[in-house]
Order: sequence, then structure tokens, then C-alpha cells
Amino acid sequence: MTEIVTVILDGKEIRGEKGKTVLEIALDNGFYVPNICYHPNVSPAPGKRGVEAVFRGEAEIKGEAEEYEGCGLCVVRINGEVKKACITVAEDGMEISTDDPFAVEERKRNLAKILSYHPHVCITCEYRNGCDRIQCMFGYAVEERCCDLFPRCELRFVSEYIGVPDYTPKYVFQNLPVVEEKMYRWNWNLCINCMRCVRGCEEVREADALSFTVADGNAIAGRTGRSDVESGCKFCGVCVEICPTGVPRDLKRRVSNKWRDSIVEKRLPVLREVLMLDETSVANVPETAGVFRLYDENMEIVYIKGTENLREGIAAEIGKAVYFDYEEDEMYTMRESELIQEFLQAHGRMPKLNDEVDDLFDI
Amino acid sequence: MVTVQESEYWRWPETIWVDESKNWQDAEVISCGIDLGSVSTQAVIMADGELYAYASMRTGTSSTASAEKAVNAVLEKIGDMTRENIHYTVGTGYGRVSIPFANKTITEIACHGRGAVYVYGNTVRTVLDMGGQDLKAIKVDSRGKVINFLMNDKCAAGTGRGIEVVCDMLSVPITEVGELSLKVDEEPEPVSTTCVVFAKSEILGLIRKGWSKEMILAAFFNAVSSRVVELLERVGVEPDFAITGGISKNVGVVRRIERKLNMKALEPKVDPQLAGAIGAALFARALYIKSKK
Repeated sequence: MTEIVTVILDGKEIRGEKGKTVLEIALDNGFYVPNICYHPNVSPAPGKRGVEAVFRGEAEIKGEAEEYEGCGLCVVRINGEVKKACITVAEDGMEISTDDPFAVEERKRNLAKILSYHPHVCITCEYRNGCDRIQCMFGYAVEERCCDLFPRCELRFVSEYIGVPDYTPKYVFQNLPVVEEKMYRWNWNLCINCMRCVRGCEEVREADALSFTVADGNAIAGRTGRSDVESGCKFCGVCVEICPTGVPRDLKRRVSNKWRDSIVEKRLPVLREVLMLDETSVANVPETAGVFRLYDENMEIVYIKGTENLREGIAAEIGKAVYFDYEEDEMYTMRESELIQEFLQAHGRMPKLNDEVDDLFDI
Repeated sequence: MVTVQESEYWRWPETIWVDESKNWQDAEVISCGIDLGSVSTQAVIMADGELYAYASMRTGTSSTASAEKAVNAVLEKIGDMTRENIHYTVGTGYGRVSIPFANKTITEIACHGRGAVYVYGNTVRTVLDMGGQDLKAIKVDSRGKVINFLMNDKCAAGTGRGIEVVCDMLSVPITEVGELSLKVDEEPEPVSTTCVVFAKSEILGLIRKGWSKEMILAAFFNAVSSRVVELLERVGVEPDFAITGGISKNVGVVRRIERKLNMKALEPKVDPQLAGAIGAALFARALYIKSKK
């Protein structure tokens, strides 16, 4: 029998296995606490010790073999103290507040710090949907814009959830090394030093091709050698899988193996509140033009549709899905295309129920 | 016929056409597709899934009036057909909601995919829709069903509207700019931006420098094609490749895209600007038959 602990999270009693962290118990119970350096496949980042020097291509970065503090996005108030949820083991009766103003403020400060050295104009752009990100209407340089992982970028979703603070410094392109080798391309400009790859390499593949060093108080990730071979890389691809931003990428096709396949997909925050798809909720929907989305029980989008009358449009769908959300928009035909495009890019296919014209091809 | 006025070089000719060799009364299903775009409106009448008549007009300030105008024009050309003879109408394009007489609306993405297969045959896999104010790269299967697409509706750079502006600046009719741009001995460097506003000032600079119209057009279309090729590469170009929308009639842009992709674009069987409306009309026919079952 596993021992169970009970904690009070945002006023609700939740349970979890003894020995688990506050973050794990919250996530297991369906509560979202923002995080980026945490990954279920590896140990928590704070307290991890680095080495004296790492490499990014030919560039050697010298520093101290000190500890990494963590991203600091998971801070919550526990029994009155603001703490990192990823390293605090849950204890019986703990009172946890995830939306404590001090914790929220600290989270924002830490996010601003991360974004100051990661390209982010697309994250804050009002026109991020419906844009191919090839042509930027605001004229931002390619280096300042987000990469092609944007539609499913973890950092983006977490940033949107936390809210990018106004005081976030402008990102300045550092022209860091971009290393292309036999299997992977390492674009160090995208690195946020979350050390997920470092832990993945060490703990999942039991290699030590990646590490970090602490230079001028900042932990910097890098490789332990100048090249893939020199660093002792075993070419498993765990780093590609576990990186939240896309620093290492496959140059060719993705090669599958047990280590790589063991890396689970992280749960991303739900950015909008959804409603139950039933008559009561639909009755409160305005009778205006807009776009609605239907979700199944796993919160996956199954249908995206623009309509002239939201209430009527959604009412006709009752029974076909579990949840829905909507937005009012006069230009709903355009908005519909934008949202479908976003879904397609993130999933590589259309939403399940959007195949409404499917049976019309063979007539 | 519309006469091109000297001051309006952007003005592309509106066309109304009917297949005189056929009698629509022999057909079982008369379907209509209307593609109400930002710059142009097409109304297509199909008789049993075959193109019978169409009107391609400019979109006016009122979407509803533009749709009415196009349908009235095509019916007038046919002569003895009335609205009551049309069994089913599908509207598409950004203005699709403003077509009061449409039985159903379907997204332009689905319609362009379906229409492209009619216009280019079922070997087409990658469709580039170059419209008046946006660009779409669409990947389809052999039936014309969309499997992926990428568009930019936030920025009109490199679209039809931009080309219209350039035509006016250089006083060359829009139907001739494509040919003219190919009459250069050496391809000039592309203009640095396809943004309509910035390109305009850059081209003014080139005019002042004494560049020929041919060279300026070549430089502009060079930039337009580069921008489009980047979009296509993002979705992945799979042969066969085809271009729909108004710009597909501009050989200057088409040849340059082909050169950059190292791939020939398919030759259209009918006016490729009609692809969206044809797709809509084909869906309309299927919907009508389905409703009768």
C-alpha cells in the first residue's frame, strides 16, 4: 500500500502519493501550475550541479561547477512561504495557493528573465494567428521572431498562461553558435538554459554529452565536448525530444528508439476556459457572429467552426462533444481559417469533426 | 466589354463566358458556386459537374451586391436560365457569409483544393492560391481533399493588390506586366521587400534611378516569387504543383516560381482564377444529390 498525503490546494482538498512533490500532486489532480524546467521523465532541476566548462560548437564557456537554481516558474505559496513546487515534497495538511499575488509576481519576473534571452516577438504579437511567420508585417528581423515550432511551443503556451509582463526586456539577437553535424542541428540562440536536455542525457540515456556551467551567476547549458563525438553523444535523440524550445533538432528523419520514445509529452496549460456542451451553458452564449470550438473529454479540439449566430450554431452541436468555447468575431470566416491553420500546424491534421465535406468527394 | 481607361492600369478585365456547345436543359443537376474574394468575385454554373458558364467580376464595396452582380451577369449571358433553375448554391471566400441566396457556405480552403483537381486534374498535390489579399499553400490528396495548408491573412505582401499598385506606378496594364517582366537580359536583384507600402517607395527610387519598366517588374516579381516559394517550402512541395487565383495568369510570377522550385506548374484546363468557385459548385452538386437520397 502506498501512503497517501492530503493537501489543500487553492481551498480544495487533494490527495497524492507520499514522497511526490507539490507540483506532481497538483498536476496529477488536474490543477495546472506553470513550469518549464520540470519534466516528468527527469529529476527536478534545482540543485543540479554543473561543470567548469561547456562547449557550444567551438566556443568554450568557462565558469564554476555550481548549482542550477531552476526556472522559478512553479513558485506557489506553501504554508505562507513562496516556494518552488517542483522541489517541495508534499506533506499532510499543507496549504498551497497557486494564485497568490506574490507568487504570481515572482513567476512573471522569472518569465521576463527567460524571455529576455529567447526570441519572443511572435508570442506577444496580436496577429500571431493567421500569420505564416515568413513575412512579418511589423518588420521584425527573422532572428527576433519565433521558430517553426511556434504552433506547439511549450514556452509559448506557458508564457501565454502566465502573461508576458510589460517590463520584459527586448530580445537582442546574440548570434550564438548554430552547430550542424551528422544527426542534429544545435541552435544555441533558442536555449533558455532549463537543463532538461542535461538531465535527459544523464538520466534517460546515461550519457554525459551535455552539462552546464555557472558563469557570472548565470547557468549556461552546453555540451561537454566540441563536437558530438567528442562529447560522448550516443545519438539517442532524447535531447531533441525533451527540449522545450527546439535547440537540438533532427537534421534528417526522426530515428526512433526506446530512450527517445520513453519521453512523455508534457501537459500544456489550457489557455481558455471551456464550458460544458449542454443546453444550460449554450443558453448564455450571445446570438452574435463568431467562431466556436468543440473539445472531447480529453480536452482535444475536435471541431472548429465559424457561424453567423453563435448560440444557434453551438446548440446544433450538442451531443457531439463534451466541452466548447467561443469567441465573438465579425470576420468569423477569416478567424475560422486562422484557428484551423493553427490546429493543423500543431497536429499535422484537421480536427476530427471538421471532415464535414468528406462524403461529398465521391458523389 | 469593359474598356481599360488610361489612368487605371490595375484594372483587369471582367469576363463572362458560357459554353455555347451545350444546352443546360439536358442536365440533371444545375449547381452554382460563388467565390466572394477580397478583390474579385466569381460565379460559376455547372451542369452535371461540368463547367457551363461563369462570370469573373471585381468585388465592390458591398459583398452582397457583388455576389448578386456576378450571378445576374452569368444568368444574363446564358439567357434562358433563372435563379429557380439552380438546384443548389454554395458560397465560399472571405465574403461567403454575405451571399443571401447560398444554400450553404464552405471554407475557401476546401473549395480551392476541390476546384484545383477539376482545373488541373487529379495529379495535383500542391496548390498555391495567389489571391487578391492573401496567399495560401494547400496540400491535397487525389480527390482534392485538403491535408495541410498554410496562409498569411495578416499581411498582403506579394499578393494581387500589390501587383495592382505596381501596375499603376509603371503605367503598364496588369494583363501585360507578366510578359514584360520576362523581357530582361539578366535577372535583377529582387526588391528588398514585397510589402506593398515599402515596395512602392523602393520602386519610386528605382524609377528615379532610370531603371526600365522591365527591370523594375522583374525585380518586384523576383521578390514576390521568393516570398511564395518560402511559403510553399514550409508546407512541403510535392508534385504535381499548380497555381490558382488571379496571379496564376501572371507568367512573370509563375515562371519565376517554377525556376526557384525547379518544377513546372501544371497547365490549367480552364481559367485558374475560377478554382474556388468551381470547387464550391462541385460541392453544391454533391450536396444536392445527397439531399435527394
